[in-house]
Amino acid sequence: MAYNYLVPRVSPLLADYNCTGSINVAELIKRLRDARATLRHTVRIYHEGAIVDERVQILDIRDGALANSVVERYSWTAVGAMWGDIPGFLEEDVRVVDGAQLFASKHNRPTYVAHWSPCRKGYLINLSPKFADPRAIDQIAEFNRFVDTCSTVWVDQERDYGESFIFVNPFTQPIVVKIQAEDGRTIRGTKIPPLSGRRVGLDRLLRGNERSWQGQVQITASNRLLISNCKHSFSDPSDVTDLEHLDPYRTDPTHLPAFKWLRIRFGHLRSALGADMRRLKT
Amino acid sequence: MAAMSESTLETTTVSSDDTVICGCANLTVAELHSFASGGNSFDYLLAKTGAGGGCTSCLLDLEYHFERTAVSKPRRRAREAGADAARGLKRRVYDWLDRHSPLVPFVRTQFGPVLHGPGIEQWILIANHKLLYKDEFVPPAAKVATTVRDSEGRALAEASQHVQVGETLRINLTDLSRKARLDEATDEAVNSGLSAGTFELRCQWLTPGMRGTARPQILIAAQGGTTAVHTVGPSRNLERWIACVNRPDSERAFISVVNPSKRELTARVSYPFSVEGCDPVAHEVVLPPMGARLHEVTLRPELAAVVGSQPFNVLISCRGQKNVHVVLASPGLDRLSIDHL
Repeated sequence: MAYNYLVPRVSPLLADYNCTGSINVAELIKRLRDARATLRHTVRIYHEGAIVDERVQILDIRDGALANSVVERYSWTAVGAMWGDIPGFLEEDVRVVDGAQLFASKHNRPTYVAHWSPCRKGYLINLSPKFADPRAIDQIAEFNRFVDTCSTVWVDQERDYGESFIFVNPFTQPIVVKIQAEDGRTIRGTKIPPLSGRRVGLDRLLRGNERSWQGQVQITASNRLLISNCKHSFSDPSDVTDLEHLDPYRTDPTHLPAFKWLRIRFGHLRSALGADMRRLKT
Repeated sequence: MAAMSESTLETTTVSSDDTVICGCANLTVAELHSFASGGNSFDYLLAKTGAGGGCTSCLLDLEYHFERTAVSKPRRRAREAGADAARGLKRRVYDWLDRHSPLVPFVRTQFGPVLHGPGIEQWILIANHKLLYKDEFVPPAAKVATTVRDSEGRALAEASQHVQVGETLRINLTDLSRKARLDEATDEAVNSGLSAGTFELRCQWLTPGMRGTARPQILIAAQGGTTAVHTVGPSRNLERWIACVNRPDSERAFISVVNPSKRELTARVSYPFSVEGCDPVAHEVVLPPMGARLHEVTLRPELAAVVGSQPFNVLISCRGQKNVHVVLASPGLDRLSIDHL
């Protein structure tokens, strides 16, 4: 199987936080069948259904090296964009210009983008695949629904620990989301419009006079979407400490056949002794 | 993971080629396969056919079938062509042996840093919950063994616990290592206020099932906020890159390297890359067996003057297995964020 694209990757953007990432040309070249291609690299910034910024570059790769001059770093300056409480998102798209199937793999290597804001500490967050995430596909096969989980929720008004989920819908249809905690607390009916982001504060999980809650939540939705856990000040949600992707409810097996276990151990041993495992696999 | 994907997909009901998968766009499974096997993207399928754009109820099915086609086509073609018969026989023998072997538990061994600093407390959380939307799926109970070590790799404490279904196990790593840590403050910790020991976590499930929510999470609470990241196994990746911005008044960046092996390990942290007129400086980090080191990314004044506020790249290179994390902190260490590389 060969492809004329890499799976697009998406990362949430918050108001007042600038962002920078870079094109890892060496990793792109590794994924080509013949180390030769003309690629279109596009970075788009979406907010409320519209493309608010777009940068396109052509990467001319010949004999395993970049043959033209490109600006490898891309940046988004959010300060002054007046997004208020509504997140946007960044989408990175890499395609073969003439549509030829030149990629041997459609998955790019995981990459972080750095976010920072004047006078505040920043955070890193990875670019997540827009679709074709193997764990999400396994989950759809097993449960026929999309379920993400987060077990580190800690909302505490006394300590000024606040949390939100940042939902990014990179598709062209609206998605409805439900958040459910292990003890029955629920936030229902959040609608994420197409090509948009939404932030849902988890202080809504607090009941009555409660000032703190810790626990595990599961999020299901009418289609898959990208969810990040934003840890921030309780009193000022725009002051972010960390942003981290969630985990799918995993269908990985907890056990494996003993014969397979032996093969894996043997592979590890050969790898530790310096065998070239890539050659062994072919 | 690859093996799991195959077995899961095999057990799913396969639709026949003329089954309509999107009623709104009247798209059949055969048409979807033809798009997917042409190397086109999922986005292209949606845009070109209009599938998934009406009532949207088929979007998850579309993605599943699209990916399944991409996984299964080459294997199907190889079978039809009778290619590589010897490998086919080997595969069949392996499959037969796998089917008739007893099941053994995966033992997942993971390592990571234990951060020590003013007002910082760190836990490992293992939540083992049933699927809240489908009561019939219940994951198995698990056994968890934890070892905490100091930065030199000396074992400080061990704990062995079970996490039953519906429970969240919270292991306080700061408490486990508190007693012995007081007399091991390194120059690094004295200078920066932050130091790192290590944890080793061994998880084993007691009966066959699926992992569910049970991926262990590192949770760190500082005085002004919390941060979390899932645990990972040791990596052999030779090089990892991150982007930094030199803002010493607002942020400090630390690279944590944990050595999970019983041999000494050397890592190199080099920066700043991608800034014109700057030659990167390499900083060597020597890790004792099973130990950890924390390197703070700082620029000498003459380099800082050239770099200014431009983002620059940091390269972490190391041969051998290791766990690398990046910690971004406020200058007073009252807020931290942690990510694995």
